[in-house]
Amino acid sequence: MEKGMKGAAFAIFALACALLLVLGIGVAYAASGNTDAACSVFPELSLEKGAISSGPGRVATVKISVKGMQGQSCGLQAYGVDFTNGFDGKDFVLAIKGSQERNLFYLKPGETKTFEGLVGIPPETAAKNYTLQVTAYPESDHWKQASKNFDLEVGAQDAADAYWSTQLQIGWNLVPNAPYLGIYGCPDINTGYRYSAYKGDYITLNRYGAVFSVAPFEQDVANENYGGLFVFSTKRCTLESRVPSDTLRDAQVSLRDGQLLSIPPAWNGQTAGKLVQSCMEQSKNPSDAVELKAWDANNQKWTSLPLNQQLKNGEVVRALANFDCTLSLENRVN
Amino acid sequence: MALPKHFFGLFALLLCLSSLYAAQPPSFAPKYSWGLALSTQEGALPAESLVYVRYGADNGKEYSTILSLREGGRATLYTNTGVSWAEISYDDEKTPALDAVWNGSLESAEQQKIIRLPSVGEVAGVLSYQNGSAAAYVPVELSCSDGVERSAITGESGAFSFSRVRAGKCIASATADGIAVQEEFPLAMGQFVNLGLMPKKNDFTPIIAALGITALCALVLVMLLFKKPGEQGSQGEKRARMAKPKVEKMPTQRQLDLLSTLDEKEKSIVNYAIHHFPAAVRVSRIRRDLLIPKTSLTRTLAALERKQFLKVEKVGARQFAQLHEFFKGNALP
Repeated sequence: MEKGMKGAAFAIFALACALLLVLGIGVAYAASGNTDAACSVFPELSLEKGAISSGPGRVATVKISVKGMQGQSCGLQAYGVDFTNGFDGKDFVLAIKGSQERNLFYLKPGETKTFEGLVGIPPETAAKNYTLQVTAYPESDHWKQASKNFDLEVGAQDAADAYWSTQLQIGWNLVPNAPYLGIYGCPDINTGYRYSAYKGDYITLNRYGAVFSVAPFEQDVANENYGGLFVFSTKRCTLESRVPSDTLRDAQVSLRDGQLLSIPPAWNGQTAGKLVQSCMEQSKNPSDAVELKAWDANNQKWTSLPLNQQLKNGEVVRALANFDCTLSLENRVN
Repeated sequence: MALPKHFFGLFALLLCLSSLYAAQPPSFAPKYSWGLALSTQEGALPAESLVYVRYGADNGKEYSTILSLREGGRATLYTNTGVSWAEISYDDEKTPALDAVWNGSLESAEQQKIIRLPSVGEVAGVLSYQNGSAAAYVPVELSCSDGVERSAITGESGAFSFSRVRAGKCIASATADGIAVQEEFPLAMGQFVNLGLMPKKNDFTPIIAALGITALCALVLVMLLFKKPGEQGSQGEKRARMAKPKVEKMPTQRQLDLLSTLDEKEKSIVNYAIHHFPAAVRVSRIRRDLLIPKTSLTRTLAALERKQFLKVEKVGARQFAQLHEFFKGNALP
């Protein structure tokens, strides 16, 4: 009886495996689509806006939609969409969010996918009108490309912008960051690491053009995204950002369990002790403590930060509190 | 026909997952800081050279990071846990292979640990039968100055490779066609040695060569003695006869034109291959030196192969990239 049961279980298991295999092959075949010439057709490309305006050092975004125009019998087809270097493309740092390489994706017949184009405007860009171009094409035939142009109006430098600049040494360096902040320079650096108290470890950020954004396999925690980044550099170069006054509006950071704190313009000149004091005012237990450390990139070492040391706009310090302590990046520390 | 595409996709996914274990920044709130002073047989490692550190933590997990050294080869490794074992490797970008590697225990975090990294190099080659065909799936032995006997099995093309081989005098040996073949060679720090092993039966080559050279010398002597005046060619003709075929230095104008069609990342990879030419470079080395994520490198290499800039070959478990004939200019596409 027991033998019979075992036999039946084995048969069911074998059948399930065979079914999975057949299903897998079927899905793979369906997903591969048909690569006949008739299925290599021009995709439909559309942009959310025909014109955008921004300023030097900023990052403008443009929504790009691509529709698969192949016939129903073609199934899934691979398409690509990218900015081109045509017109004024070479003057900007262009990227599609989520793609560090050629942006390839699959579309069903009639399906539309939307992407976020990131237009990094280097700080030294002259104020005038520029033309940028986006192209979508079927992977099986790059000549069947659909192109769309849009105008970019670059205004004058905003005098209210703050400036963050970090001279990188060879090795690990800390760089200030904020969501959608354009970081320019050192084009070889394409990865950054931010400490996540939620994860208890570093999370990876990919650099898409001028923006560092949380890698797809990591979890983005809202109150951590003003944290500074560890980047590894194999050469000396400078990373710089223009910080628009509204970037840090209402920005709150929690130092509980740690944060790589990007020192905002409002805190420039305040002492490390003032920061600790402000945090300790939120303390409820005698065992509560805040520890500040700095990364010495010249010597590749953590060093302690004296309480009388003045903080500088754009430097990054390691702040670690063992209790709930929240600070505002918009205003001076009280 | 459709399946391989998806298997490639699965492979890319696996590569992506493996990239999660890439080098991490210094520990956020380290419990231990390990002071290191690193040197090789040539002295302290230079300031700002990069070493790759892999270590096993007390919790059984494995971590890795890159350290940028300071004067005297000094560096600090920050960890959250004790370290049960560590591997430190140094790779000078000017040499084609890994330069030095050390394995051991860091012992105590309280005092600076002075570590001398043993020098290593890389050995690869092809084993052929007497008729020139590849000797596939044949064991090749390698013995070097550290006394460790290593063994590898040739691939389908007869290729074999040994990495992280202790520098010094080495002997590679194999048996093909029932005949033992052996080659002794020196291996320097960071050197990549490419061997061609082929067994030779009744090897009279040196004798025949010596006889041939003697006969040739005698013939030239006789011709010179009995040559009529006026029969001598002009100096220009002679120089033209003696001249070596012109070899253009890389990159040639044609190559520069081809390079201008690539994006910056592709260019940096091809330039890296040009820098190491004629040696093939390990794909993992390209990734480490140019700091390119695995998935992105795989895609870029595939594109460069398609465009006939590079060819990528698998030797054992390792992938090597080298310049494609089309790009070198030796062959038509």
